Amino acid sequence: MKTERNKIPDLSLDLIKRATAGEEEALLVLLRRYDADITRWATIEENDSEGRSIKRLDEDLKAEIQERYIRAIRNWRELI
Amino acid sequence: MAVYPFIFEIQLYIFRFWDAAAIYIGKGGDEEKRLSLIAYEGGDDMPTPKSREQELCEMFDSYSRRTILNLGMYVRRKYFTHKNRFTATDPQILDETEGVDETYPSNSFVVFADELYCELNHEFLYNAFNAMPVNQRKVLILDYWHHWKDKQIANYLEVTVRTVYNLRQRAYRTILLYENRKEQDT
Repeated sequence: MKTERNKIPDLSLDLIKRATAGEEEALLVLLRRYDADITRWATIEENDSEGRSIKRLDEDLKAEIQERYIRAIRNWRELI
Repeated sequence: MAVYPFIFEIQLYIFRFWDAAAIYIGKGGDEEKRLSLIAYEGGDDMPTPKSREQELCEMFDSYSRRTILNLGMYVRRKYFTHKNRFTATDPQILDETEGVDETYPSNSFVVFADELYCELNHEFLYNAFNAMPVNQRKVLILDYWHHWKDKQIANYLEVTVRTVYNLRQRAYRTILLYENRKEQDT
């Protein structure tokens, strides 16, 4: 069960249509699919006390990117 | 002696006539057509055409990745501009929050391994992960964050199950090393 949940989901036309219609479950699947891309942009590089570069995830940034991405998914309807 | 060049010339004419006839009949023409068609299509082993659904999925995938890239750049720019402005021009808020220790537990360490990533809460683990080669990192991420089995990981990394086991053991050793260092520091 855990394995299924953590697999990167595949795209299908049905999934895209449900997501563009605003179905919550489909949107969650898409967010899971592009989680790595979103996290990459929500990661901030900082220097620690010893001057070493560290990467930290900023949840606020991640949430904002996710929110805007959900809004952008709905625009896809016009392109089909 | 004088007849020989004359015969040679006749032979040449016969050959030319034969070529012209072949093209006229359609023998050479078909071959030419076939060759030109192969050149146009890009070879004999041309990929099969994609279905409409596949095309749409690829378009959506590309749209999503591009959108996330644009959004990421926009949001980060906005965030850093705001951060600079906030720290530079709002001393009143700084006075209000003086002495308050703000902690962000959600600001966890992030480690990437090509297309995979994981979030960590301990600095020694973060350092250990960064010290590992990418394949070892991938094995740990797929094992502990994605809960994949060794066989699945082996298929994904295109190595044997035994290699996955070895990579994991080496990764454990690196983590142990960094944990010992942390204990020594404290």
